[in-house]
Amino acid sequence: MLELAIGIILGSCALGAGVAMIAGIGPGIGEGNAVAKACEAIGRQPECKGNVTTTMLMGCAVAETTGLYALVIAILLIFVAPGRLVNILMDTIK
Amino acid sequence: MAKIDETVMRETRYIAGITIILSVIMEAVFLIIGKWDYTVLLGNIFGGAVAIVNFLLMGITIQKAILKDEKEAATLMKLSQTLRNMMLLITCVIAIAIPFMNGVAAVIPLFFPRIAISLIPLRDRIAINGKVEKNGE
Repeated sequence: MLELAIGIILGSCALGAGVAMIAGIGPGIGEGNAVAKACEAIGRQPECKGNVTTTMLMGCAVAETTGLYALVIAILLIFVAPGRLVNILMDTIK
Repeated sequence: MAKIDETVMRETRYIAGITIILSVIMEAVFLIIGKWDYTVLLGNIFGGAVAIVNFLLMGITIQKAILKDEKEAATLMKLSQTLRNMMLLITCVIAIAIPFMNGVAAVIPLFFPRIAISLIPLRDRIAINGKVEKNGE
């Protein structure tokens, strides 16, 4: 029974980490669209290249943070959560 | 190798500066709470360096992407984002797995560029005030 409980905890943590990383898809698509539109803008007004690049650089960095949050959550679920949860389980049994 | 655009270099220098300032503040906080040791310093240096390199790589990718057509630019950016995300994942795993590096001190600096971007309106305001004062003389 204990092995089953530990297995469920480990499996749930791994599944949670995988689900959290779905958030990593968004920034990629968002940055891709932003750069595509910036290309269009620079094509129309080449003299604005510097301003467009700066704004886009900052926008992309902000968008990327979302992916980073997901990454940190996934890492915590893989490396930190299983140990803590198994310890809580053991304490409860004792 | 293509030359790095001046805009990308300028913004990377700004991000690097803020990252260094925030890293010093973080070290001070670790010192105050009594959890500072050499692992915190190593983790901070590692995490900060990765955060700056990540921003520089993003800038270089954008510099290359804006010279391509829309579809190619979007694909290049998505590929770059995936690869940089993997780099960050490997960074986090290394920082947590290696015993002589504090995982928390390595992960926190990865968010410093976001804070630096939040401070951009302040930087712009200071620059505008500086120009006004210069013209006023």
